Amino acid sequence: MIWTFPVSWKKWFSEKPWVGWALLILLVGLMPPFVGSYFRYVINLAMIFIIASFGMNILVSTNQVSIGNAAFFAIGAYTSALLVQKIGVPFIGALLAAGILAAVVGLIIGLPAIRLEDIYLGIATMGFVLICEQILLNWSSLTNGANGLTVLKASLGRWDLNTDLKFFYFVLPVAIASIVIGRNISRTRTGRAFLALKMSPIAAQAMGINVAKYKTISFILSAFFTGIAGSLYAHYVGYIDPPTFSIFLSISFLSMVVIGGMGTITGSILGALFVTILPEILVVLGAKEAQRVVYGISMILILRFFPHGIQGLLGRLGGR
Amino acid sequence: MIPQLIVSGMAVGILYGLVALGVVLIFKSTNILNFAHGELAMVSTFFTYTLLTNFHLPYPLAVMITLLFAGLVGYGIERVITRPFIGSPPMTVVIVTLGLFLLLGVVAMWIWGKDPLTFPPMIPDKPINIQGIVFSSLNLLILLISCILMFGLYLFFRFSKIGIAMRAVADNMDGARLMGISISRIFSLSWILANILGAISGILLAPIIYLDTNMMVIIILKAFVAAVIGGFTSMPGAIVGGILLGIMENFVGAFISSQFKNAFPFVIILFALMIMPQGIFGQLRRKKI
Repeated sequence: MIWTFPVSWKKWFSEKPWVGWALLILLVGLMPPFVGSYFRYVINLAMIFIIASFGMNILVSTNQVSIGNAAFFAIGAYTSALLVQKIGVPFIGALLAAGILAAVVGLIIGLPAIRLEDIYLGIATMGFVLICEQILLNWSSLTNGANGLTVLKASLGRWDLNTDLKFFYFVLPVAIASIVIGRNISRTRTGRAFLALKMSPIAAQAMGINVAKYKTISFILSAFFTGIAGSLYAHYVGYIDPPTFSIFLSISFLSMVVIGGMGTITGSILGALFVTILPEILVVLGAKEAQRVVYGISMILILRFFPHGIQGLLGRLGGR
Repeated sequence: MIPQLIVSGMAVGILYGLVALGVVLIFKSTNILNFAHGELAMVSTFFTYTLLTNFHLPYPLAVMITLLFAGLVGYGIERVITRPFIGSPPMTVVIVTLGLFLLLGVVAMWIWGKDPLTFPPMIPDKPINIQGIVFSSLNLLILLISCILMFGLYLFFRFSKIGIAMRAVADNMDGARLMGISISRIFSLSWILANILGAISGILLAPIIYLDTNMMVIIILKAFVAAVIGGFTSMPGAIVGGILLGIMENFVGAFISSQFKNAFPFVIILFALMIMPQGIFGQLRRKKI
């Protein structure tokens, strides 16, 4: 009789998928106090990059590719750093402002760029990330140019989020909230329009979906989440400079989504974990520069052999 | 001063155009936007450098071996990496070439190191003064080689059987296949040709800018701008676009701000794509469901 138990266990799980997620979150949430500070740092970065990778995922799931998301990340980082430092805006306000400003810039860039064929969007966003880097370098009075900015640590009213542990308990809910919001969007009219765009933009248009409008919406959402991630990054790491936000950062956002599994939320989480944790392992092994090679090779191999990424691979191993 | 700006702008611009030529060639015939084109050119240039300085080969021989090497690499990449993706969405292939872009930069750094190297020029660099306009002898050589190359390419695509087949594939892939043209062979050929063009542009560029594993990152982006101006599907358009870009860039640097000069090409991308995505020479591409 005992061996029948797992069957109903499995059934119970598949009926209530949120239970699995809740357990996972609980597990992740309880872990940091028991691990070393270095591992806490990596986990925090991973949380931030989950949000960024999630932003990229929104774009990819409408069949668009952007090589400019590092620019939104930079806009988020600099906006909130400057707001907190120069004007004294509370961190939480600056965080939202960072997302909103990135979204507005996304709208300005997106409106013309989105009407282009998918390939040209790649080129246009690539142009955007380079302009952004140049502006950050040259507008020294605001951004302190190549010397970079030292950013105040995040704080919530009276609480300073100055340790890895405190920051973790802030960034975890933010990451969860982003994912829940994104998940809920995918169940609305907009989400279904995104799905139709992914399947076939032309057929979607024939069905009466305003392609340019929904592509712009996905671009704005993507910019928003990336901006939020940028702000968190700035206030966590405590120092930002223009080379951080180069085109390579954009490509690593893209590689997160590709490696994890394109167009799925689980995939973008797994991808962000892989891309954040891998370099740290390589640093420990003494091969820091190998990370780009590993990203490059894994992007090519995964697209070739496992187009659904790690997520698809795990699904296959799990017998689904 | 203005004629001088035009002349020196042209000299740089034609190099952007040469790099763009390879991008356009691959895009036209295989519909792949090759982000790794610049990095491949960089690897070929380093290869020449090694032949010249470590093996002390004479210049023409080193260049010949490099072109052979570049062709082989192009063939290998088409065969092993991009061919399995024929028929997948363009986005997927773009990501694959981005992966290649990441990969090649680091591999080159492992082999040749981080420090910029001075690439020996083909002829000694002497300024030539014609009625107050200063040419560098190197720029003149670049101009000459580019003209010869373009004329050669024109003849190749106009008259040779393979060239005509390549144009046919670019025009209508299914139609060309029905006429008995081997699509995969044309794809390989496009990559070989494009990569050889890339190697030539790298060898011409390296004496002007330093030889460095990052040398092509900015150049390839400017080549994209040149290709966009020219319409992305037109080979003469790429060259004209490159020359226009070089000249405009010089004017911006001289009259507006030298800092803005670096950002300017990317502003052009956004505007060119907004106002006339078909560029100067390109045709509007219509897609079928």
